[in-house]
Amino acid sequence: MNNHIPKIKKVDAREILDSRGNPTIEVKLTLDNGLQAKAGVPSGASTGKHEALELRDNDITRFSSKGVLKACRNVERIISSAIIGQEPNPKIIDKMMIELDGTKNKNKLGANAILGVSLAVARLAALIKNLPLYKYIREEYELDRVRDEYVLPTPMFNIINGGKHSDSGLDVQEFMVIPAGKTSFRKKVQLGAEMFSALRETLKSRGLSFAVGDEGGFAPKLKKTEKVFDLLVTITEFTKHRLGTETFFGLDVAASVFYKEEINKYLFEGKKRSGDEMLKIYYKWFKNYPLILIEDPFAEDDWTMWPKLTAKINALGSKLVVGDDIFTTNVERFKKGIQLKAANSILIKLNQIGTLTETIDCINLARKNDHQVVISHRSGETNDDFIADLAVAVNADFIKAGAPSRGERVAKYNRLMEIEQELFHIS
Amino acid sequence: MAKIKQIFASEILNSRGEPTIQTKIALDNGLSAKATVPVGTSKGRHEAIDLRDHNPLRYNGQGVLKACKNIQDIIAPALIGVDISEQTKIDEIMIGLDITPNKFNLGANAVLSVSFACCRVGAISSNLPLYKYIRKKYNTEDFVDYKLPIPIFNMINGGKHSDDRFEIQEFNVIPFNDLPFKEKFRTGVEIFHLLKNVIKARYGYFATVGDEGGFTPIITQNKEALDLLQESVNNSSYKLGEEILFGLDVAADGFYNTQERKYIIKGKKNTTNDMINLYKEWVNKYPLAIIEDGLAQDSWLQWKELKKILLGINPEFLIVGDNLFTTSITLLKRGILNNSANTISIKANQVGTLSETIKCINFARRAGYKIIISHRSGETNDDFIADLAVAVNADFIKAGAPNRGERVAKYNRLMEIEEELGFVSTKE
Repeated sequence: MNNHIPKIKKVDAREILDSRGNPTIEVKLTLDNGLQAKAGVPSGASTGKHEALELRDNDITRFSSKGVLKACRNVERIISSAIIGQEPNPKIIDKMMIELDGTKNKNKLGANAILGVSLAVARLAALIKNLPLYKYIREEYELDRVRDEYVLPTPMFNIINGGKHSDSGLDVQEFMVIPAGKTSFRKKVQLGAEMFSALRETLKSRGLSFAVGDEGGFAPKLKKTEKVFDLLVTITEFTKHRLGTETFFGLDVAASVFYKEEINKYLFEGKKRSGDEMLKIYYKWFKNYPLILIEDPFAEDDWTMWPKLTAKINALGSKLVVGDDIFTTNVERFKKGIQLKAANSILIKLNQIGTLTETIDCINLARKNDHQVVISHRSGETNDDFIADLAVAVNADFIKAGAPSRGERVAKYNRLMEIEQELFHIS
Repeated sequence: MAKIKQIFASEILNSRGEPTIQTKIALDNGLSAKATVPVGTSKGRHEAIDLRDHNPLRYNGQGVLKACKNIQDIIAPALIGVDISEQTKIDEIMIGLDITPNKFNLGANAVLSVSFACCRVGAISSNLPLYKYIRKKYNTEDFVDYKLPIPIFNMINGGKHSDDRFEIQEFNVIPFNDLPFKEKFRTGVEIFHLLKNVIKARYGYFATVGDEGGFTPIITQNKEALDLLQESVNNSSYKLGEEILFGLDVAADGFYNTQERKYIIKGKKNTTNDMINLYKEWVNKYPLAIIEDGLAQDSWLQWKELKKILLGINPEFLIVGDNLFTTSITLLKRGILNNSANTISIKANQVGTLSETIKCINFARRAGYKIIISHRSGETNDDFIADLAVAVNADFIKAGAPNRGERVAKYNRLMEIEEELGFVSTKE
């Protein structure tokens, strides 16, 4: 009996374009038995200041300095020499890369370089075991102790883009439609797509722009948050999806963007507002609309306001206060948040931390402390659908992958429908 | 030889959030592959049928469950057991099952997804890259060498693909230089970002994009789009008119009134002559090298006039028929007879099988036509057309602006092929 365990034979990294037309890395690994796997790495526009480093060339003659040839070289010259000949085990290889880099936020090799390898290694390992990626991740990281059954995440569709991602004049960055009813993932996608299509027709008929932003949502000039809520209510009625039982709303405020540190005020909808004033506004929205989730309601270092809001929202029952920029998928920051009861949910972005293993550590920490888990894409995505499998592997509560439009967004939803079909034969 | 063992079709979403088909084919040797199909908005009258459910309770009637069912119930039983290396036979079986000239019974979307998936798994089974496999299957070996197509970037989206404030559907930027594909691609990417800056500076807002990834600035006159492109290129290190040329996909049917036989632009009724004069003016003013669907489909003789006049100014000018031909040999023959165009836009889903698509390409080639392989406005992340373009040494590829996953997928694949062929390295 030949018990040869395949080893990594070749490591390639190349520059491809992401969904915003910026360069990013694609890593391709080849085993000595011929098996291959690739992974593409995303990139954020609204980046928390505690995120791991995304390495760019800063060579002004190429792609306005955004090239990633340095990161590709780091993969092919530095990382490859450490991992060639190794068995493709993400736990072991991630640890090797973390040590190889040696810095806290992956300054030396770049989190983009490291993550590309990390994800491709996991894919290869799944191929060797002949398991779908989500099953492999669950087994390898012994996640089945969390819950036995597979549960598909609830999708959060960002169908209206504001903030940094668009020109809508809206301060809130994302308005999400969340089909949180008890139905199949496939039906939830249908609901999202029907809402999206109804919204497009409504915008068209009102003479508003129906072109799309980076995450696939529309960016009409509506200026005020409440106008968007009203529009979403209208659309929901139009599509006959019941509000408050099938269809709910969510917001990603991305408040760090409009927080003015010097004066400790939030410059929101034309006025300077204190944290407490913002809290009142949010609370009112929770009361008036079928809002079930708010992400980054305060600045990333505003540790006083976060716990205040979370306490109030927890009292309303089953509503989510999600930390993204405040935690940046970083275990240290998240521990502080848990201690202070800053939020009750965490947004997970692989490239904020840089390896699959560290990401899973963070998810496990969330689970142990009764935080809900939201797996998220970035605004600059590739067609890689790794996060769909990750979400299923960890029984994530939610997945955020943009509006049901643009290839790089629907790739994730399509993969989840495929997984659901595989697991539950839903067609 | 490996045989088809299982065919499985399912409904997925395309880049516009509408349903489309994904077909997976498994062989008896354990290999499998998937393919998905695109859909157009601006369709020619003679296109093959894109079969939809018309069930108002699902996806506004846009579901494709019927088409999936056709694959499972009708196509699969006929193809299971067939040798995967016989791509032409596979396509012929499906054409025979459907029997209509426009794939009315089974749906061109159903048929094409099977045709593409078979070809892809056939390539895997032969251990060949898809582009090499296609070339081998269809003996397109009048070409010994491989040549990468020139990308046509649709930078500004108008007409039906965007907010409909100006009539012309696409304003294209084409890098005409001797550099490798990946450098041509970089040129497009850099101009795309410069254009974003120009739009931001002029109109004071961030730029959103249309279905094909191009910007949709708040302009009302078609000419303003050409000015925006001109300004962007002038802000770059590339020489306008030498390294960079412009193209238009007018999609004239979108604003042609068939009763009055007039082109309606901002309410004004234009005759064919008015349109030709407008193009003439633009060709003299801008580095315009390509016009696609400049006049309405079926206006064969008017197209001839347009061609004569524009080639009189620039003998290299490309008059492209898309809605005019809809990848149909019958229509192409008519175009050749009438001397209506010199370039054809090829869209596999206009005809429905790979074999018919290649037949049309070969026919066009023999008539001295240039070949543009084109995406559709409702795309998926499937990059089949990148391989197809290389297989047939297409002159151009049209896959939208360099953004949106479903668009860059094609360009990223072409860079990969170029590297695989040993033409360039992506690491230098």
